[in-house]
Amino acid sequence: MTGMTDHTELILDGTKIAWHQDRIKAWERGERVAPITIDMALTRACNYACHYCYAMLQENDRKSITKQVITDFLDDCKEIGVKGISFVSDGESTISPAFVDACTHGAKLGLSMACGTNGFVLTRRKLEEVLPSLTYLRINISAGERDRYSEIMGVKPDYFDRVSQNIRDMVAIKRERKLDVTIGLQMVLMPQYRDQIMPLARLGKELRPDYLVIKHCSDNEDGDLGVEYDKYNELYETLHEAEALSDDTYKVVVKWSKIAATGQRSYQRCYGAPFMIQLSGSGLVAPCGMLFNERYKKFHIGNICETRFKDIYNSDRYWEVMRYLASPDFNAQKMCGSLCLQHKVNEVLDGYEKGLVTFPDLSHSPQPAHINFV
Amino acid sequence: MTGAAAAVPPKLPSRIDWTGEGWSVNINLSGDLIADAKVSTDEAGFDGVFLGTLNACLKGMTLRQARDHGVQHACLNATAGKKAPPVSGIMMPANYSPTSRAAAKALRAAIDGVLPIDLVNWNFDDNGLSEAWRKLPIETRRAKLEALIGEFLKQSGQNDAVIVTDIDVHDRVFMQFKPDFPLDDKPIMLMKLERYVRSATGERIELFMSEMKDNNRIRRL
Repeated sequence: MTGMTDHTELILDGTKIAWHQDRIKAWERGERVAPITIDMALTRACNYACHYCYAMLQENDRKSITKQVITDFLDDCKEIGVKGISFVSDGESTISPAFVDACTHGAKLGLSMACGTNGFVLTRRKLEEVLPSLTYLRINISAGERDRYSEIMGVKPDYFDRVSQNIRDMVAIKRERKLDVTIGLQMVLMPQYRDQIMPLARLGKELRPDYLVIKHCSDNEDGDLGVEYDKYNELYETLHEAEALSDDTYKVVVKWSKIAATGQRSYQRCYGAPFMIQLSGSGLVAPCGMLFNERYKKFHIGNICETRFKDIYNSDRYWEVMRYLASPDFNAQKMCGSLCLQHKVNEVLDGYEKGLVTFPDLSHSPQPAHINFV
Repeated sequence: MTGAAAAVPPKLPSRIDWTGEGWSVNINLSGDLIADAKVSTDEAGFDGVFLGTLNACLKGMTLRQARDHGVQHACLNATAGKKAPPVSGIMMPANYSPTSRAAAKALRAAIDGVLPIDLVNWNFDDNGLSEAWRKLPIETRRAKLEALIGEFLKQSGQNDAVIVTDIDVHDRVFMQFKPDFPLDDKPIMLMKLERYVRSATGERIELFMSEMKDNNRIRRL
């Protein structure tokens, strides 16, 4: 149920929160704990128009994250004890002029850095610069055929060719320079993209990233994206077929735990946010990406373009919002969209708080990859 | 958007009496709900006032709610009106006080003894809007909410700071601030206002700003 031990090496369908028990104990004692992972974007802008894009639902007051802003932010993260920063969130960070500097500066500070991207602007020259700083680089690609890629991702068909070439290049650079970076592909699966599951799994086998992960599509609490969760079970056979294409150096992983959850949550409190917060590409600090839209203003904590992150983190306002989400004033089953980023962490911490989950002693166990991305 | 999973109703006793480690739990059930509850201890040093709050909170809950959320509700109620919470981080039964910690343990042991843990079908109880509130005509509900919002704004000296733009069928209140209202004050004001409305109605009313749309499929650079 907890997903804590689904995979020992590269956990793609589960959570690594059990490897951070010192922080869980501090949280349980009522101390202020710094996030282990922050997911953010360097901009709200994007050069794609994906049909399933949740960022369309996340609009908020835009401000610009400059090189100085992100440098200060990363310095603050290091100071307060954040361990990993992923540039995913609600914008295409690779098109920000601050992208390469942000990755290299974060890595120099000792933070684990990662990126989720459509991969379009990551040509060989940019990849050479950025790959050594990254723990993982994940390409969002929800189709394995040119024309369907164009339809689903809202771009010209030849973008597919360029992205495919960029993936070939990143795999080659990793191999040539013997880099530790994990290169992955990610398919956001809507039931209507079923025809692309096998073509994409085969494309991955040809391009040779480390993995292809196939995940559900999240929706907001009003179901604005129209995700039909009850139709995922019709795809199970094809998904198993895709998984069977895995070999020693290429894994096809289906996020079964979320797909099989059919959009439901087993918990009401959101305990995961203090361990794993999200920032919008506008600089907005909010507990969760699902709360970025201006309508959720009451959960908005501050903006790194105006206030240093360490001051935001230490503010009473930050903790007032975190306490609200962890209190009976809040019910994630009724007041949130489906299957958020913090979902697996929430499941585990909720079970732990209720005395239903105990953490194994992992002090002598090998650490999983990407441990700072919980 | 999520709803209750189809659950097979467990056969419940009409009464639970449990003792262990110096603690007692006595619960009378009326159907699925707790008619009255007494979590108590003979041991010295525990907080009787908190236990009184807990026992009052448990009344009307299902056993499942009581097990999973009862002590949390008591902690929240016990801090109502106090300026600062007892911990600087996240308040939970485990850290609110030694009494809350021991009471949670006793209550869970008592309930687990009669009701098997069901991770799949449990945890869909919700204390959102009461039946009594829902039964009121929508115009009455809207009028009450608008009056309370107006009252709060007047008390804060911000009479025309906010306009209610919509109250939807789920009683979600959507609002708009006047253009010159300080940006940084909006989140704090909304949360305070929501607390005021909830406290006055006893209902879990949610307040939102009007949604911000981005109609560009390719978001502007």
